[in-house]
Amino acid sequence: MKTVQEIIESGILEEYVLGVLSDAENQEVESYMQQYPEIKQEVSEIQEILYQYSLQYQQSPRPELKNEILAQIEARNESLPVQEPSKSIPFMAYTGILLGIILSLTFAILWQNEIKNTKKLQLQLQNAKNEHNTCENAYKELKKAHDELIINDKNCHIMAKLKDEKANTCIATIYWSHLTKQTYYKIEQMPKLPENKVCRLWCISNKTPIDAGLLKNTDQGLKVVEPKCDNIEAFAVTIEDKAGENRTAPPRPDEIFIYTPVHKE
Amino acid sequence: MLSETEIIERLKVQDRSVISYLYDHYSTALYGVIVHIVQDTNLAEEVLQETFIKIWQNADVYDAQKGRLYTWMLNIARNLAIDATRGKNYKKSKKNQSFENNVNHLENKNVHHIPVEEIGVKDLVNQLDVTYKMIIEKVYFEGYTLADAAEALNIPLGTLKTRLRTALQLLRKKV
Repeated sequence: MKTVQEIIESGILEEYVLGVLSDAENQEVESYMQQYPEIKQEVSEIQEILYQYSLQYQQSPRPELKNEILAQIEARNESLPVQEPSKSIPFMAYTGILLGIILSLTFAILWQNEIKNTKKLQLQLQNAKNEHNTCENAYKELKKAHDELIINDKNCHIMAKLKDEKANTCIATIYWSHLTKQTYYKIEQMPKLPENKVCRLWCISNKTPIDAGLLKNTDQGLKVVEPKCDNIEAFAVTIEDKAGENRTAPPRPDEIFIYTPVHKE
Repeated sequence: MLSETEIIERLKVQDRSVISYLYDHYSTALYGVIVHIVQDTNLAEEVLQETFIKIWQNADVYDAQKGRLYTWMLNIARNLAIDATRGKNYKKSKKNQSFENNVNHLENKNVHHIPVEEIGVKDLVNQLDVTYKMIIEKVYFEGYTLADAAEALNIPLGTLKTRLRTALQLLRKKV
């Protein structure tokens, strides 16, 4: 263990001030400085004498240099916020900052939960869609099988084919099933209609036309003709204005597009 | 007159006015040392600029326990100037300067400089034996290691260390 005097006389303090020591030696001297006020004083005096020695060389730089250097420092700080040195941050500002942090954290947590919930719901929705698609496909299959069963049944017969004579196409086929005691229609090929027109099916029973609803391109497979009518003599299709979809009036002669009597068995 | 503590506080909070204050009070000392080391006023101006930028940016690093603020600033200037002399371009232009030239340069240096008002600095330097001055110059202003300085001055390392300490002791007695 070196004494203070030994340390001072070793010359290590001069070497420290001159900057020629290794990092480990520098740390050693700095720990002496913390431990012994005399060593700190000695180092301070050596620093002072070298500063005084340096002053022999002092000379003024050209006067413009000051502003150039200050401008350089200013330019480097443009992106940094300017801080007022003597002003302390008021209590309200601290409270505001704290409140801001708490609110931000709360929102962040809520937002995280929201994202989690949204993802969960999206997953559930996707599962439901998949299930729906599966069911829809199963329904289509069943419907197809059901329709085939009715049509192919020996107790089912075609009541009428609603033909567009001009275009030489069949709009729909009407079936009667003894099995189910139902009248069905099946869309074959709908005529091309203007935007403002629709097709309507009529059952003529006891010379009275009964509204059986609109025929649509989207109708798939067998559709039950409603309302249920007995003694149907003929079917008619009208092309009428879209605006009158919920009509109650009987068809006018100029609206009748097809009129087909029922085939007798 | 600001105290060192005030200067440091203001530096640490990036109060720009303090850099102007430091320039007014220390640029002469720092610039003088830099010119003395790099021997080129244009390069010295660049180094002085770097010095103030470093002081501005590194105020957090300054540790009052290790020394006074002006000795910290002097060390920054000195180290940057020594680094500048080690640059490629500098070596090309200065490498032919001989040791003897440096001695003459040393002896005649004060002639061109502004009068020193501080307590007897000029006298104390002039009174110091050139042998001692050379050691301080080599180590403190030219950045030589002790071993390199001993080799350059053609003396044993132990002798160099003793003389270095003696030189500083003598200066202290004279101040």
